[in-house]
Amino acid sequence: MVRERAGRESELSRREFLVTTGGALAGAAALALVDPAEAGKRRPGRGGTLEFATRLDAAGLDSHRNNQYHTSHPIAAIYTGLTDINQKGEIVPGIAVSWEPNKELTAWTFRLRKGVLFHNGREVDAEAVKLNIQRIQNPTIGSSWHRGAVEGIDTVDVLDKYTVRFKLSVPDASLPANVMHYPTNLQAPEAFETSAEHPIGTGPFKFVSWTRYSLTELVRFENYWETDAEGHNLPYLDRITGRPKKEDSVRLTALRTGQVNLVDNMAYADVERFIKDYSARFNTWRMHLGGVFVVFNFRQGPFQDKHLRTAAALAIDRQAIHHAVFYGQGDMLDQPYPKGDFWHLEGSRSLEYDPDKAKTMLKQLRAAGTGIEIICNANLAYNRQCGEVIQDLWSKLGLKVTLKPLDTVPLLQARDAGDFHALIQGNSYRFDPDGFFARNLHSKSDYAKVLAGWQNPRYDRLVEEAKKILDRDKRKELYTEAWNIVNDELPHFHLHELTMISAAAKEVKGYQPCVMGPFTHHNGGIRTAYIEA
Amino acid sequence: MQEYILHRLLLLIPTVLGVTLIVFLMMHLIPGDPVSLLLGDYYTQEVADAIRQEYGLDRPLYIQYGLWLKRMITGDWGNSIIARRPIFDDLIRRLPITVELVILAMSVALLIAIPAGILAALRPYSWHDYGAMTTALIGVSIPEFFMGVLLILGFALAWNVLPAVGYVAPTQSVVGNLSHMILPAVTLALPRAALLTRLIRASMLEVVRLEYVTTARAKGVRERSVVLKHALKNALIPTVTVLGIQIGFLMGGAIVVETIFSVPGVGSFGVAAISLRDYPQVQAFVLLVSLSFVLSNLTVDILYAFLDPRIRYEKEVD
Repeated sequence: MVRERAGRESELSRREFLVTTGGALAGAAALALVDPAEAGKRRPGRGGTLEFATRLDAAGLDSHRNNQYHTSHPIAAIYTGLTDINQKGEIVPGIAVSWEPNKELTAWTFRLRKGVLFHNGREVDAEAVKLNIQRIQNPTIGSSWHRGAVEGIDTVDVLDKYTVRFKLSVPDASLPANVMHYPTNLQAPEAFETSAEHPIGTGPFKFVSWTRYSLTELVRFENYWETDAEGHNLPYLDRITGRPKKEDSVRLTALRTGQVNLVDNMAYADVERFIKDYSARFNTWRMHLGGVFVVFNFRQGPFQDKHLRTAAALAIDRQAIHHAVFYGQGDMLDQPYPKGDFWHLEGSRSLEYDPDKAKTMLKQLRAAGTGIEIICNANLAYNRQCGEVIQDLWSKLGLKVTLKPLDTVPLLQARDAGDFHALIQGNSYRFDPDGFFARNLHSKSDYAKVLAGWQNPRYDRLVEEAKKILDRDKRKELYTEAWNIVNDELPHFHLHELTMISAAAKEVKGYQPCVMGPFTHHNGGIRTAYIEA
Repeated sequence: MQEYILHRLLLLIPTVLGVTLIVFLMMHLIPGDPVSLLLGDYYTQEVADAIRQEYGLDRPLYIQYGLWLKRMITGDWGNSIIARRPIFDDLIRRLPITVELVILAMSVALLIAIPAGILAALRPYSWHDYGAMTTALIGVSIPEFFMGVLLILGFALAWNVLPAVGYVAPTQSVVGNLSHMILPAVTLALPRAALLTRLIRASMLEVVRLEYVTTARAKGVRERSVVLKHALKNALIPTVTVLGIQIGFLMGGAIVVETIFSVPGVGSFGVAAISLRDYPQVQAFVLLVSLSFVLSNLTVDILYAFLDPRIRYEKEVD
């Protein structure tokens, strides 16, 4: 009896096995045709509302006109791009699953993920990508920042529904970084005209409402394509409420009283004490945002003299800035990328603080008492404070220094007109070094022309060469050689890293921002965050 | 009386026009325009000219002003150049919030100032008087941005009895709305309360010494009636005048307070517009603020006529 039963059972088991396996195979085949967003399920027990207080807020909702900063504008959560970044800041597939260049790096072909939807249900296809790029390139629509990212794209060809090819005017290894969601985010083409009031993106959250510097409301996008490692649909959160609060102390108070559960941009002066006193209740993260540097004007003024520039650079005490401006947060920098980043140039040589040598040089030049005008951004505390420290250091050197903090628009005008001797300038992190070395210093770059206005053919050739190579180590060698030219001729003199310290209540689980600051990144950030009940 | 009110209403028009014209000219005199900001590093004359033409910024100033005025009158307040959103919608959503803040602030100021001023006047050189004056001095000395942060640290952080920042609409929850607006309103109210306390004290001191008040007391009228019915009404006349002027300062103070407490009113809206050189937005903001200022002064003038019948009768006689 037992044997019969066993046999019958094993017969049933075989039948059952075949049915199950056949079903599984059929299901697997069906899955390939089914929208990937529908295939996964939502992870149970993970949800909640993230109340996110930020220092900044977007100026407008049209992401092609107004910067949607993915470290400080909650609204940036509604967008993704062709490529994405991971927690380390590396470029990874996003809406595009793969991309490859031609041999000369003058054309890049991107293959799109099937079934990715805009928030209005329209599928993201090659035509939508083309329309987005064309819109960004329109000078009456795309802001300078957005257009700069895609300016090298000559034409966009739709090869088939899910394949798009960008033809470039010059070879460019950096394109994959430039089509990441910041700044090249994708909007639904049929919603272009209303994007200033109701933007439609492809990101993990959908737009609900926005009142500038008051409230941003986003809700989970149920058909978002990304899944976690177990195949559950992301994001976990039900909602994000952005509550911008300009005052740092007010933002921190809101966190401590429980009104919000995540804040960005903790004031440097508050960091050490906050971590010491509240680490039991809150998590903190320190991220690299960019850097701050001095621009010496080559177009006019006393800094056209290399010896004077060198003396001025030798008189800058980065330690003083490190303590007085940044309260010891972050590192001193003598180049764009910090230590630990792949693009940090170990072989570069920079001038170190040497006030005695600076004074000797100034004496030899007979330049004591030379009038110097520094301009800086009145609205950015770190920018203004760096200007104040440098004014003090140069005054002690023997120069007659005036510091002019200017509002954004007059600053841009003074800068563009070359109406300054030195400028305190900040930069955000560039996911590809070409975005820094070429954009900021190549003689043909419009941006470089309105900064130092420096021209060096050898530097240009090195940077152009680096742009044509995919081998990162080789590129790094070229950038190192180029940076040594910069350290010698001093169009720019780097001062310090810009860091951002964010904090969240311990109830916020699964959240870790990208090391460069973005709160939304591949399989992380707000996409995997949830609130513990 | 009607003639008086009509006369005042007609005066509104040139006043508002004058203010908007001055601000329009000032905006165009300060360096930079929104096109520079929009184009940034990719500024080319050709593209800049095209954008200026699109926004009408290439026309002579008097034509720009005239066109703007015409659109205002016909209800078209235009779009923000930077945000590309209808200005009217944003302003209308924000205006009631600022109005609520200003009314609450003024109410709190009066609630503090009237009893404190009366008490100080009735008991001069007593601890009531010195206490009220010292408190008034502190209130007027501490800047609003500092007072706001102090109140947040106290009431929100240390004692956790009120929310730190933010705004809840009264349609969502009246209690929520009031609890969010108390701290901003008190922050805005304290300097005004200080000024009004001193003013009411001085006026009351003057009035209680007048013969008619002595007569009222001699006739056996209750002290409460003497103070509140006979003396206060006359003492409030200069206070009402100052109240009208204070509305303007309240609107200015609201900008700071709205920023600290993240209240989505017109104040923060205007500041952002100025820094971005968003001309249509700035002009709409200025128009609104100047209208509020002028209307509040008009209300004060009318109230004045009710409080002091001599004004009504003088006009009638004229």
